[in-house]
Amino acid sequence: MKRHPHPLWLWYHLRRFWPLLFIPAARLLYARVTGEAPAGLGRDGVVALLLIGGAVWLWRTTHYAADARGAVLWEGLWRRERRVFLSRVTAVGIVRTPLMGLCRARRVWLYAAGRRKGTGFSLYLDRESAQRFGARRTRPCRIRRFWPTLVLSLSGSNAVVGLLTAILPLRHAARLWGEWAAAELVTLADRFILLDLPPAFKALVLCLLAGWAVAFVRNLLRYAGFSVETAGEELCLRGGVFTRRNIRFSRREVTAVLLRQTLPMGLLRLYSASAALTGRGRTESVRPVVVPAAGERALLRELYRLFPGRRTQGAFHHPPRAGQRRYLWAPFLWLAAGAILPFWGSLWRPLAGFWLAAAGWWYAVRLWGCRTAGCAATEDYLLLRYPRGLALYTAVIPRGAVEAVELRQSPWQRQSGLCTVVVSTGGGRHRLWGLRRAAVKAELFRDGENGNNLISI
Amino acid sequence: MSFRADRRSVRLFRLLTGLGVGLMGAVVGVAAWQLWLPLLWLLLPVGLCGAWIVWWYAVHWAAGYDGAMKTERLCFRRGVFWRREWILPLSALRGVEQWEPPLHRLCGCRTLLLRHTGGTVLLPLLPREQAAALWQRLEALS
Repeated sequence: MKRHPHPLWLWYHLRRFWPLLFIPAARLLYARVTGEAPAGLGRDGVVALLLIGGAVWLWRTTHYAADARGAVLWEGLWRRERRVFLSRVTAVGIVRTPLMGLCRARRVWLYAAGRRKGTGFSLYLDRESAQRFGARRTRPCRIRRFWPTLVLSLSGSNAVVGLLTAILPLRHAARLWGEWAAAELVTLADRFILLDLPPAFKALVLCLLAGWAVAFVRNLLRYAGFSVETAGEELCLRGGVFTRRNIRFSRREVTAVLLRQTLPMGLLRLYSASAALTGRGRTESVRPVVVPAAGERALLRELYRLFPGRRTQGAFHHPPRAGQRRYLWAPFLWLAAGAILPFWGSLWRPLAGFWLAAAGWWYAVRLWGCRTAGCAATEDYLLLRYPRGLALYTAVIPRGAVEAVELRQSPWQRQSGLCTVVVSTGGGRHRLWGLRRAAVKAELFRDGENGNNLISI
Repeated sequence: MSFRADRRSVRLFRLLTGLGVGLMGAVVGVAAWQLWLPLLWLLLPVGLCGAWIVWWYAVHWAAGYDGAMKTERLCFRRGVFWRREWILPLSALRGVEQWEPPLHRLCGCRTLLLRHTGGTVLLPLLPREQAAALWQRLEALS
């Protein structure tokens, strides 16, 4: 039976036009404050009404139908029709924001396996209809670790940048505390920011600190109360404080388990694990986090429970010294550029400080990454450990999920017998630089009589 | 079953790069005519590069392009300076596609496209018989 989505669809559809919708209200407010007649109110009001009218019309032309086999969505003037078969769905997610909770609505997204955009869609449904797509509660909730989640939130990449910028204010605060103590307490917050920096950099420090605070709170709110439930082949993830997420997917759709570590997480020996599902992009729909934060033992215990049989142990091939250069030259160039900046003038000196701190951080991550990067192969799995961005990843890839393996050799790599390995899976690519080609071929491309090679799975 | 580029692939490669270089030369010529005549000097490096690609690079490109289809996988390598080697499990293939545009037909070549969920791999300028045999083997998979 065809039905309209929940009327809350209008609110979320109009979200991108909020600035336009608020212009008339802002004009009215400004006119009231200044006592002048509001100018251009009619034009802006017409635009806002047109937008709202268009959204209502779109809502009226949008229909969906859902049954046990799947869901169909018809939308727009062109009657675009999209079907998703539940049997082909990679992951199902149900999201409840506080507003949705008030309106008894839910957002359900059905993500079908595919590298193209639009292989799935999301629906705004009432609570009862959404429950049809939800997972049945089978086992009591697990993984409720507050402290690891707190540490994870503190040690995210964004948080690290914030911490770096917080060093100067903290030093300043310590000095203030020593010199003026209580008399200055009232203006301490100001003193945090009132460093001997030009105003533009004060603003930058503020932005970074605010970014750090936002990242910390966001992570905490996202993963507090996180739980994983298992039902046969299916995993169901729940979590979030205000916005509750409920993601359901089959173990069969997992193309890799990714263990992520930032530098502070590495120091604290913490990992976060996510499952890379078949699909496009790196959103929560295709890379749901299955263990937000855990130490080594707890992580392995949890992963063995979630993915039974994924016991991997193999000889790691690390990049030789010549291959490690490939990891370091890019951050080294950034460091060198940061070192040159102060010679351009005094204005650039504070910026050079930030630049050097960020480049140094990147260099440290890469240095740590190139020492521990490597690959190993077991009978059932491939293990790749590589740095990307400001984190180190360990990918555990089932051999069955490998779609292509590519060895690349640049002219200078050929001289030293090195290569770059790119392993493609349905959920993304994993790239590892500077490994010995002979060792990789022997390990990954084994051509033995027993068929124990990468491809003849 | 193995496959490799042959003389026809080299001929088509030369033809295509020759056309490309000719087009670039024409653009430079028109730009020089319309804007600034000394730009015509650019034709020298363009011509030299073109000649180098046509006479030297094409032969080495073909020499380094070969592969084999085994029971469960397709392996092939390509590239002159930046060498690439692929291994594709046949079970991962989601679709195959072949092209035979007029220039390909003229030189007796075909281009195959192998699609898997993670992306697409190109097998360009294969001799027609080898491409047909490979296509048959790939078709038989379905």
